[in-house]
Amino acid sequence: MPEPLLEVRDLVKHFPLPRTLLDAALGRPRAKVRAVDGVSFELTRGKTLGLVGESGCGKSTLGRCILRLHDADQGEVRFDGIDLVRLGEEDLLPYRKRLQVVFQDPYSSLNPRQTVGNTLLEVLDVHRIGTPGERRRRVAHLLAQVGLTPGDSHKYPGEFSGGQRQRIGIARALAVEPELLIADEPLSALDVSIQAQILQLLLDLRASLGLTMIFISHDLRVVRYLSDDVAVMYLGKIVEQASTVDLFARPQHPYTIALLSAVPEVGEIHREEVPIEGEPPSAVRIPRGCRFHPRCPWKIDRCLHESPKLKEILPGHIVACHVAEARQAPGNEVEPEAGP
Amino acid sequence: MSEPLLVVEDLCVEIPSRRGIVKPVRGVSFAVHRGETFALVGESGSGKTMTCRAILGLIHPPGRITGGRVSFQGRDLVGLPERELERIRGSGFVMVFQDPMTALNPVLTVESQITEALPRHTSAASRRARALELLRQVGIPDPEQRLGAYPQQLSGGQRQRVMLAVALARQPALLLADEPTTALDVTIQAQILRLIVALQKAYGMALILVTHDLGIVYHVVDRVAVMYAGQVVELASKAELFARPRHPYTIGLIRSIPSVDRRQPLIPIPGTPPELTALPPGCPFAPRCAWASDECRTGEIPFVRVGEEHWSRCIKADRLEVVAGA
Repeated sequence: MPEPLLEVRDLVKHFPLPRTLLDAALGRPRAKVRAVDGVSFELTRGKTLGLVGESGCGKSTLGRCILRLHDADQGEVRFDGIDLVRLGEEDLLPYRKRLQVVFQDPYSSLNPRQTVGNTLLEVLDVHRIGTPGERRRRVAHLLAQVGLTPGDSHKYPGEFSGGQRQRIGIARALAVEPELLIADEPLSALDVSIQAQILQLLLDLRASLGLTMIFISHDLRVVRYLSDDVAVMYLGKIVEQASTVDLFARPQHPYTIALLSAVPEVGEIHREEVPIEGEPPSAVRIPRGCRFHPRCPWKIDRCLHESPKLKEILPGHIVACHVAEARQAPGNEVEPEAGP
Repeated sequence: MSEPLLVVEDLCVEIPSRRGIVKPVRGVSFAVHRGETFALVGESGSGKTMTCRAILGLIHPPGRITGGRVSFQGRDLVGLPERELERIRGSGFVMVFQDPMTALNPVLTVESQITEALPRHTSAASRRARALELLRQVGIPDPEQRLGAYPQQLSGGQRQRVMLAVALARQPALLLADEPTTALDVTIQAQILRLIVALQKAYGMALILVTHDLGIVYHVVDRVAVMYAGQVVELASKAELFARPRHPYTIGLIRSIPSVDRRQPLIPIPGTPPELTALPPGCPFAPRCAWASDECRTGEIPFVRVGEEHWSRCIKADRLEVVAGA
C-alpha cells in the first residue's frame, strides 16, 4: 500500500458567531457554525477524491483548511508526512507551492489590471522557478496546455469569456507544478457546453501530469467523471465514502441515495429513490443523534439520540447510518420501508 | 387544434449599447397551448430570458421590441399601453424568477405580498384564509407562523415557494418560470420542480420553463424550443428532440451533459457562443459546428420543418442523422 500524499485526521473548524445580547444575559457561550465537525480521509498520490454535498455542508471550508486558507481548530492535515496545521507561516511557504487551488469564479481571483502573461510570470517569479527566459517559455507552454494561444498572454482577464478565464485559473494553479490540486466548484459558473470543455481539460491534464486532486462539487454528475473515490458530506461530516464505481452503483446512506435520485438526468433511470423533504438545518444548531434524522425517511428510534459512526459496511465502503448498517448485516437483507 | 394560449411570431428585440446594437432576440416564433409545459432551453446570452421579458412587455428603454407579434388569448400585446398590459399581466400570466429576492418586496410580510395579489373585492378574513391555503399548497411548514415573516427570514427554497404562492394567487393561465431552481441545492431543486409540476396540473396552467438544464427538460416538459444566439434553432416534442435531434447545437448540448450513469463519454462543443454585437454571416453556430461548410456561412438560414411538429434551423438537418442518435 503506497503512503498517502494527504491524510486528514479529525479535522474541526468552527466559526463563532457574534455574541448576542441574549447569550450575554443568559451567560451562554457564543453560538458557533460547526462548518467542519470531525472529518478524516486519506488520499493516495495520483488519485482524485470527489467531495460532494449541498451548500453549507462544509466542503469548501474543508478545502480551505487543507490549503491553510483557514486555520483548523483541531485535527491534522498531513501532507507528505508533515502536519500543515502546526506549521508557522515561514515553514508553510514551500507547501503553498505544492498545494494549489482553482476557484469557482476565476474572475474574482484574477487581477483585472494585469495581463494574463504577467499574472503567470508573477507566480513563477514569486516561487523563483527558472531563469527569466525559461519563465517566458513556460508561460507559453502553460497557455498551450490549457488550450489558449501564446497571443492570449497580452490580453487582460476582462477580454476573456468565463470558460477561458477558468482555463487561465487552471494555468495559474499548474504554473508551479503542484502535487495536489484542490478544485472548488470549478465548473459551477459555466454554461453546459463550456462546462464539458473544462471537464475534459481537467481529465486530460490529470492524465498527462499525474495530478492528485480534490474535486469539490455539488454536482454528482460531474464528480462521477473525475473522481476515483467520492466522499459525501452533510452538515460538517462525511456520511459516506467509497470508490466512485461503488458509490454510484450501491449507494448506502439515505442522503446519498436522495442526492442521486434528485439529479435531473436525461433518460429513464431505475434506481432506489429516497425523496427527502425539508431543508438542511443550520450548522449552528446541529440535530442531536444522527444529524440527518430530521429529513430521513428511514429513521428509527436509535437515530434520534445516537450519532452513527463511520463504519465499513461493505468492502472499502464506509457509511455512517444505523439503518444502512443493519441492512447490510449478514442474513438481514430486509428493505427498509420506503418513504414517509 | 384549438387556438393556442400564447403565440409568439417573428419577435425581435434590440438594445443599443456602446459596442453597437445588441440583438438578443432575432425572429423568435413559437406557440404554447392551454395546460401545456413548454421549455425554452439555451445557455447564457441565447436570448431565452429576453424572449420572456418581451412576452411580458418588460423590455425597458432604450431596449425595445422592433418587430413581431405576441398574442395572448387572441389579443395582441405588442404596443398596448402599459396600463392595459398591467391588467393582462395581473390576471393572465405571471413570471417567477431565479432569485426570488428580486421579485419579493423585502419590506412586506409574506401575508401582504400574497393578499396584495388576491382579488380586492373579498373580505380581509377570506383573503387571509386564502393566503394560508396557498402557503399550504406550496408546502411551507407552519404556514400560520410564516404569514408574518419577511422574505429575508426565509431560506432560498422557502422564498421560491412563497413566490409561487404569490403567483398562484392571481390564478394565471400561464406561468413563466425563469430558471426557478438554478440557485437552489439539488435536493431542494427536485422538491420545487415536483411542486411546480403538481401546481400546474392542479391549476390547469400552461408553463413556460426557461432553463439551461436538459436534464430538467427531460423530466418536466412536453415541448422544447432550443435557442442559440437569439434564435430558436430547434423546436420539437421532448421525445423527438432527445431521440432524433436535428440541429448540431442540440446534438452538441446532449453530448455535453455529464451523466450519473456515465454510459457515454462527454463530447464538448468546441469554441464559445458569438458576441451578439458581432454575429457571423449565415448560421451563428457555424464556427463551432462539425458539419458546417461554405453554404452555412452565407445568408439567412431558414427554419424548416423536418418532421411531424419538428423544426430545425439547419440546412443539413436531414443529413445529420447518421451521426446523431445521441
